[in-house]
Formats: sequence, C-alpha cells, structure tokens
Amino acid sequence: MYETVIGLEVHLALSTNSKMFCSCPAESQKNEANTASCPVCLGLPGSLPTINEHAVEKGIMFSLALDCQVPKRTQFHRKHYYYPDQPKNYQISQYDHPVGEHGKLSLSNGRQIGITRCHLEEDAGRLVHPSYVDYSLVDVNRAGTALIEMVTEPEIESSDEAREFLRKIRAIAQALGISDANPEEGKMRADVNISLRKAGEELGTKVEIKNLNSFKSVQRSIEFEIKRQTRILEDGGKIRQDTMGWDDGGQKTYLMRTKEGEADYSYMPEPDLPPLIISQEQIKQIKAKTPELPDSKLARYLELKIKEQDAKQIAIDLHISKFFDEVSTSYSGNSQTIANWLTGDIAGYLNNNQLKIQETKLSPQNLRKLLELIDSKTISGKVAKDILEDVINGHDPAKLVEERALGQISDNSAIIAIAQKVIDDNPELVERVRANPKAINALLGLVMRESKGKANPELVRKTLQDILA
Amino acid sequence: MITDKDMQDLQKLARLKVSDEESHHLKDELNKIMAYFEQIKDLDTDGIEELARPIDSFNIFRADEQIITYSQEEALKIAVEAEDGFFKVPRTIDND
Repeated sequence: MYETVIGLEVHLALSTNSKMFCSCPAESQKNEANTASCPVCLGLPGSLPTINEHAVEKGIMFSLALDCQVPKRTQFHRKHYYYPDQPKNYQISQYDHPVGEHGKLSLSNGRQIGITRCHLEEDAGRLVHPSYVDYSLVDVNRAGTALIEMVTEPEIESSDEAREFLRKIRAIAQALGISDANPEEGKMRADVNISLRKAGEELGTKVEIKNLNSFKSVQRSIEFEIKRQTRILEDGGKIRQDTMGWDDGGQKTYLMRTKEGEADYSYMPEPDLPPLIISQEQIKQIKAKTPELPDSKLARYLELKIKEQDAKQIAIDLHISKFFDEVSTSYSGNSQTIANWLTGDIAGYLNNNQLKIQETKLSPQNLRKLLELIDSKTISGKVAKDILEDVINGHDPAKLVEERALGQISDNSAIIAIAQKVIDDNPELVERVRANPKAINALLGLVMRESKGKANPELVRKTLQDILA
Repeated sequence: MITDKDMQDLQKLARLKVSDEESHHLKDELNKIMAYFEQIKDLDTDGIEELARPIDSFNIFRADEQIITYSQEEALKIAVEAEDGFFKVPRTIDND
C-alpha cells in the first residue's frame, strides 16, 4: 500500500477597501465587468504601483496567527507569465522574503502541519468563455485585488486532514477579520499537491490540482487522485508531473497542462516598490489588536465544562462563538444550556433554512430571556421549543408568552380544580394508582393535556399525590 | 549559448511566432547580449549586497481608500476588441 503525501496552497482574498497596489475598489466582482480599473491594474505604460497599508498589516496578522516568523525585511517580486487575465504580463508577488515563514497549525488528531510560507500578492482578472465561439472575455475588476497565499509543507496525510486543515484556516481568517474566506464566493481557493510513496521511500512525483473552490472538491479530488495514482503505480507505470483541474460534474481530475519550471517565471525584485522594514514595535502593535483565535476560544469553552463536541462546533464559527459569548456574559444559568440550544434546535433551524445565525433576527438578549423563562419555570422546555422559530425571527420571548398566555399554570387553585376533575372522571385509573403509585404518570399526563401543556408538571404531581393521599 | 531549442522555448513563452530566418537573427542578437552578461559574471561580487532598486527608500504605503478612476467605457477604449463590457481576447481554453 502507498502513503499519501499532500501539500496545500491556499489563497485568501484579503478584506480591504482598495486593491493591493492601486486605489480601485476591491469588492467589485459582483459589479458590471470592467468598472473598477485604473492605469496601474490595467498595466498602462508609465503607471506606478503603491502598497496598500491594510493589506500588509492583515498579511502580518495572519502570518503571526499561524506561528510564522515575520522577517525584519520583506519585499515584492514580479512573477512573469503571459495570460489575458493579467494585463501587466506579470503578477506582483513575493519570492525570497515573504511576509511569513516557518509556521505551524495543529490538527485535532494532534499532528502538526508545517506552514512553509505566507506571501502577499495580487489576484488576476476573470476570464469568461462563452459557448461555441472562438474567443474569451476578460473582466479586470478582480485584477490587482489583494491576496495572501499560504503554502504548507507536504505533511498532510489524508483527505480528511486536508479538509480539517482548510476549515481551521477559514476559521482563523474569519476570526482575524482578514478575509471572508468564503470558497463559494471565490474568497478562498486551494491548490492541492499530491503524491504517493511506499513507506520509508522518498517523495513520489507530485501532481498539482488547481483552483479548487470548495472543501468538498478538495476532499473528493484527493480521493480521486489517490485511486488514479495507485492504479498507475500498481501497473508499473510512472506518475507525470502534471497540473490537473477538477471536474465537479464528472467528479474526476483532468489534465490542464504540463508543468512549467520555476525559472520560466523569471522572478525579479519589483523595482517600482520599495522594500518593507517590519519593526518589533509594529509586530507588537499588530499582536495587541489580534482578535481571539478559535483554538483559544475552544480552550475557554472546555474550561466552562462544555462538552467537547459542542465546544468545537461553537469555537470554529466566528458568529456562533460571538453569539455564545454575548449570551454567556449576561446569563446566570449553566453554559452547557446555551451550548445545547445553539448546537441543537437553533443549529437545526439554521440548517433547515440554509441560514447563518447572523442572517437571522435572533439576538443574544432574546435567547437569554428564553432560557430564563425556562429556568424560572414560567414556561416548559416544550413551549420554549414551540416559540423558538418566532424568537429567531426577532420576537421577544417574554412578550410572546404574555400575548399567547403560554405561561405555566403555577396557580394552586387552578391546578387543584383540573386535578380533581381528572380524578373524578377516571375512577379506574385512580384505583391503579392506589395499587401502584408509579402509575400516577397516567393521571399526570391527563392533567397536562387538560391544561394544554401549561401546568407546571412538578406542581401537578404534588397536587395529585396530595389529593389521593 | 542560446540554442535553437532555447529559441523555440522563448517563442512559446512569449507567445510569439517568428520565421526561421528571424529566429536565426534574433538568436545571434541574444547571444551578443548574453556575452555582455558573461563579462559581468566574471566580476567578483562576494560580500556585495543585492541592489534591486536605485533609490534607497523603504516603507512607503498607501492608505486603504477607494478611488474610482475609469468607467467601463473609458477602460474599454484601450481594447482592440470589446463585447458586452468585456475585453475580447483569443480563446484560452479548448472546451466549450
């Protein structure tokens, strides 16, 4: 059998107002084509790039979060290639002194994946290929927007590890606010380098799978390549160093091109941009304003004695964890109760309706109120679940309970009246309870039904016991 | 020395088509240029730091603010051909 060796390259679109090297709007991919361009990103003669301060800061923050060393001096390089999505015929990227090097990220199985480097660069434009014509179309709105590319060591061993790694990277990027990291919108794209080898042997020839735009396609393309390469090697064949694409419809990889060597890019220091000197003071400042990372949230939740599964689910989602923290600071009850609702009924509702928590009108205050209504026994857990959808839609649970008279009946005389009626109507059940006190649940159920679920069950039990005593 | 094979690779990378005669001529020219670099290579540069930029400046940043420069119409003025607001270019992929 063969061991799988995987390295990932992940591109994240940085959340900036303007492009990496010019002031054109960065967030214009959804706008009409070619409405965000200037002489710099169109590569017009005589134009000069300038460095976006925010983009550099975000790049450093991300590098530090991945335990990278940030060098004292960093600089940009030109990477030359000829393709119509890049008007300048070169991409400004980083080469010998990237913004971060030698980092690491831990997976839940305890394995550490080395981060080779993080570097800043600009994105290319968008190509459109209409059907049955002999031309392609170019939209330069995305050309020149800021990216950070992260490259791992070839230390990932399975498609599951690759998927977890990408989830963690997304969670970190979102927690830091450096990128939306949303694969569906092209804000997070991954390339996979994959090779097979027999245990103890040297690395095999790798194949690169380019431009994967969902975690699922990363996982499936890895699984497909493992099968394809295994078959070739078993038959005594050799793996070619190819660049592949992923066909989502056919669920298979396909050949894109044979790899051009690195020298073909003719990397050269970008003469139009000065190098950057990063001081310890600047690193300190960036560290000081770095938001809490998912792993630290997880540790905090485990300390609150939240079940590990729930804690993980909450910590990895920026908005759910923010929500949890806000409820948690004002709610005096058990933290696990909040977790139960967030990972149970609320998660279920969001999932069924394809919503994210921040897209609903659910407020931390209203969830806290709902939990307090249960704790004070004003409503039962069942009633709380019944009104949850309305609470998610922005209704105040206290008002709902009042308007719909959903409060539990804790008024003794009302409960005594109902209990007496049920006892009078069901003499044979009463006989059974007298013979076997455990049968009282049958009577309790009838009282609850009679009260439309609003009677406080403990009070009902006590009342029935008192009457029958 | 630049060989005929190198000339073929260069043409492919530069997306240029040149005749055999032109290629022969360009090869001679390029080899002359390469000869200059061979001379430079002979210089002893040990201990001399790389100088990528003639001006010794650093940390020049731009604030992250948007300025809209070109409308679609202005941008497409430089297009050889345009269609539906896009630049029109030779097809880059084989499939439809």
